[in-house]
Amino acid sequence: MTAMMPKVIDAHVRLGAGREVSLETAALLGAMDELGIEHAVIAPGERCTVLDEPAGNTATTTAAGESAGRLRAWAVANPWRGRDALVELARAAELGAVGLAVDPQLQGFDLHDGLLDPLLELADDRDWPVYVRGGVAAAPLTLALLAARYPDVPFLLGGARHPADVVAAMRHAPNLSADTTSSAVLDAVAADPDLANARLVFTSDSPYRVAGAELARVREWAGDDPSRAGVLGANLDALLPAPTSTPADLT
Amino acid sequence: MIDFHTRASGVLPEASELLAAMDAAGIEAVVVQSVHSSKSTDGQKGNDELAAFVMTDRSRMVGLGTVHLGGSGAVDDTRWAVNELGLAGLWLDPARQGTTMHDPMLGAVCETLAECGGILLVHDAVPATSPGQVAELARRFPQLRVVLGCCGGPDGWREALAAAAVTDNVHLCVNGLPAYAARHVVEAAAPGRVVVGSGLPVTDSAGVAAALAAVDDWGIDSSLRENLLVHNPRALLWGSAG
Repeated sequence: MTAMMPKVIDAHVRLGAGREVSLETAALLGAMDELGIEHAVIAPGERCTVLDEPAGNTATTTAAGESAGRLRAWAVANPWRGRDALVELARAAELGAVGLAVDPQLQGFDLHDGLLDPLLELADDRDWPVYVRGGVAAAPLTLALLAARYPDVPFLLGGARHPADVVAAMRHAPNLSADTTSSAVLDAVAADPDLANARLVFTSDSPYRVAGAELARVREWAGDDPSRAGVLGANLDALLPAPTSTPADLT
Repeated sequence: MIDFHTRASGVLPEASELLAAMDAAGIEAVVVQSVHSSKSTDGQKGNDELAAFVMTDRSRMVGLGTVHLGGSGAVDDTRWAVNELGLAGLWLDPARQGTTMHDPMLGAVCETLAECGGILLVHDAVPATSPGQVAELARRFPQLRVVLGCCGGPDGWREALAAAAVTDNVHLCVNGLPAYAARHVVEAAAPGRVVVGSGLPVTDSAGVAAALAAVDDWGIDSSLRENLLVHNPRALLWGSAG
């Protein structure tokens, strides 16, 4: 008898053409079928994240609406746009977006300069999680200081390295989760069951990384089965708003 | 005025010469870090030389030594630097000393430093060593006074402010920030938490004086200026803002 496989949700995929890599919806869905990934949360491509958020949000929410529930969409709006960013996020929400994705490196802002705060307040109002792409402009403990100011907003730190920093950041901010894109982070967080059981989230980070390899690493991770099931899907499920009727469902 | 961030560089001057230059510039005291080196043997030598130098007048020359975290004697060296050499604490520059804020020896050093009543000044320059990392360490040792020696630098000062806002034992040393950022830090930080430093070799008396004089161009009010240059560093060094 085959053991029941846990549901797999990929927390962050970028659709569209980037500078060096690109991914289209059909290819994503094909890869998900092949790998046994049931759902994915998709974000607009690099250019749209910075310069043309409406086009990006329309593309991702349309793809989500046509996916029979397999895809859900992160909304993007460059914080430099001020009030216009809030208007765009509200529009994306109407189209079915389920969270806010920000990229301080690409969008060119400082997590502590105040530009992002109005967007976080909107996320708080809408019960949205916030995905933050980690890196030089968003180090783990830098983000933790911000996350602690918004205790009701779930933050997901993507692509973080430096495992000791990630663990310290998660301890400082109880509303901060981390993704699985670093083996070292996966191992370090997994060593602390309080963190690993609810606050590690599988992300393929396609098309930047190889989804199959990312998934295999989590499947082969030494954690127990309930923890693995959480990492592969249940932990993210708990962060996302409950699925509702999408525009595609209504047609 | 007190310069909280100077350093030994090469041969230290005659103490009497430095004191005369400080008198001429209206500088009450300087905090001097021992010679910068990543070599373990030079760290202790630098501490000894610095201690001999500041001993001339410890009310006006305050020494910060350093230890080599990779060495087995880091804890003993910390205790020796404060209790025997009379240094006020330690400085740490992880990037230049070939270590990180997660060095396993750092916790034991901080514990010892806190026991001895010393100060820890960390060269926090984003991205090599972030204010958030230093604040995380400070929260583990709430009795230890920790100074962000570069206040995050030009790209990390906002993070330094955020870190200090939630970490009571973190102090900010404005050093090398552009004026707009320095002004913002001084005006936004909690009372008593900001000091200023030139970041220059202590032998550069003219440069030190000019760096402190530049505070007058920041556009802060006179009471904040007084706190920054006089009362806050006094309180941090000697427990009295008088």
